[in-house]
Amino acid sequence: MTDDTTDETRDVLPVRRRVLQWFGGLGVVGFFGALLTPIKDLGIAAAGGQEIELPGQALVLAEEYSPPDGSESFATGEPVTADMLGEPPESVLVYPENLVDNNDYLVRLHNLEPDRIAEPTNLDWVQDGLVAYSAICTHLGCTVGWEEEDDQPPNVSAELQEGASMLCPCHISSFDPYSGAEVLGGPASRPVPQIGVAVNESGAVELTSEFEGEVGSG
Amino acid sequence: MAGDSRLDLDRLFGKFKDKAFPLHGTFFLGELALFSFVTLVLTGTFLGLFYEPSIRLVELAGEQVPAAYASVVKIDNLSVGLLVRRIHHWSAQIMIAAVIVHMARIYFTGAYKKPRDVNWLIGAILLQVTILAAFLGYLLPFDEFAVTATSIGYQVFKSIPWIGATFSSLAFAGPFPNPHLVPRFFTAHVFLIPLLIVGLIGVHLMILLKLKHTQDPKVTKRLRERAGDVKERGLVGVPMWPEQAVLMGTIFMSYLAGVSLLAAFVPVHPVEAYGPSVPGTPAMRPDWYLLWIYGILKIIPSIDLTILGGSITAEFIGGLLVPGGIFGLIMGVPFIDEKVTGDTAEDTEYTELDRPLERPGRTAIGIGAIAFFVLAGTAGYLEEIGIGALTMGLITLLAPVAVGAIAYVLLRSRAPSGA
Repeated sequence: MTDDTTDETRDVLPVRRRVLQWFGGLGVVGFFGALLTPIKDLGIAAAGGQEIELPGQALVLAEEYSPPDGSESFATGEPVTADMLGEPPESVLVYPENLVDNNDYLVRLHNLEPDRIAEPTNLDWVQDGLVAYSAICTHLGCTVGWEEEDDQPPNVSAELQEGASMLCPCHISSFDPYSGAEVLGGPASRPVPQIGVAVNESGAVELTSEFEGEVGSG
Repeated sequence: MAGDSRLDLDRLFGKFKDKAFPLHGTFFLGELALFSFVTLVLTGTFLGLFYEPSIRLVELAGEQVPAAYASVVKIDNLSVGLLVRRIHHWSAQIMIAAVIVHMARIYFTGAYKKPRDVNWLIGAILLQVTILAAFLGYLLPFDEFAVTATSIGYQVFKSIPWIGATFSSLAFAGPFPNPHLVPRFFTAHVFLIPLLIVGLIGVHLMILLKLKHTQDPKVTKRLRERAGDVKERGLVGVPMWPEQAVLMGTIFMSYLAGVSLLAAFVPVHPVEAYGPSVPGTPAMRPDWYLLWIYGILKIIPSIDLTILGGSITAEFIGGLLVPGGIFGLIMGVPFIDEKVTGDTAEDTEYTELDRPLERPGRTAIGIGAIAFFVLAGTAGYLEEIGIGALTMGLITLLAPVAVGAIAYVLLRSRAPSGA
């Protein structure tokens, strides 16, 4: 400050400066704050609340299925019938007919030896060894695969598992289809939810219930 | 010079042209990372010209496939398309590897000590941002690998207690999969993250210019004797202009030659072999730099704790908490070291590096950490090795401690005076 500055300006200048700083700060905060307002719309595709009825939907193949006896294979999208499946234990990956390509509704349909299916499987939802579970792993959402009896991963002990199992290829969680998809090993913390299936008059396999719990991880 | 008469460039040039650069081979790792990044930007620009960031269905060889996938197949069939795409993939791998080995050099020689601690922190952030860039790039071809990897990433973020569902929905443009995700990741992968990397590299290099390099006392002595220099202290190195500039040019050209050769003969990320996404998940593993997280996810037993309505799951612990803690520790290395040993660099002009063999404690911890990452990565193969998750988990936890302890005892017996 020069010598001729009066005492009055000496007092006023710092105050003026502070007021300007405040307004400047407010402007910057306000501008960038305003840019944050559409933040909730970042989740653009937030779930639309459309209700989907699962019971009554027939099941269609989600991938090509070749029966183990070597007979002619069935193409993706073909409706699943009870006699299409090979000798137990056997498993196919299917979609409900109106939800093809919606992976939240992928289902693994098994044909198992009927007398080996036990609690905690919901036996009302089983027909002649046909039993179905969500195919979405409860660990991190990969599609659960199918593992034959003599090919179990090392985290499933022989005493725990004598039949085939549902095995997730991502982090090796495995589930027991004979007893309500109980976790046999791996990092999954709960079973993949069961869903009811039955064979209708025309021989096609259809869903008879909703999933009995939350599908997928979380 | 035209620029000089207007902008006085000589003054700027004169200020930096004599900056001394170290000559030891391990000091070129950061440059290798820089050159692979430049290569990524150049090849990425080429790829971006032909790529379509959309999952609308288009016809390809009689099949309905996502447009993103079809456009990558188209790139592969351009005259040099496949070569450029492979150079891009290889450069991503090399960049991450170079950053990691560069960090190892700095760690083992104690070159992170104050005042260089800030640059260590920026470097550690650069490593994470680079891995993020690679992860975002995973999605773009929208093949089976892309969808599986990104789906797992989405589920990991969804597993954050309390805020997971909201956070993952905001970050991934809604529940996975959805049509808005590919455009979003594309923007982040080609613009936002590279911009961030450029900014961080800029700050990293400015700090480097100001702080100078650390020097091996023995090498320094030898070089000084040869030069007939009698001074006790002072920086030894080649000047930026012309020697260092020529060296850098040579390294960049050699890098381009090497990566082109690699890309020409060794396939990487074969998009057409993965094929478009199918309902069933085939067994596949992430790239090597994420393998340790993948291994941890496999060996963590199932956990489901509920605290105040938020559930703490194995996937949150293995996918975010443990890796986050490890990255936190890496970023904290200089600060933890200073707390524990009180050791800082003496001055900003001249710093001698520590010889790793004379620092048993630090070196042993470093070797233990390397053992941990290797074993955690090995855990990603546990079903193929035929080991149970629990056994592998115990090995992954305990073996690094044992390896570190043995390294410490050996180093200690060699250098009894070391700290």
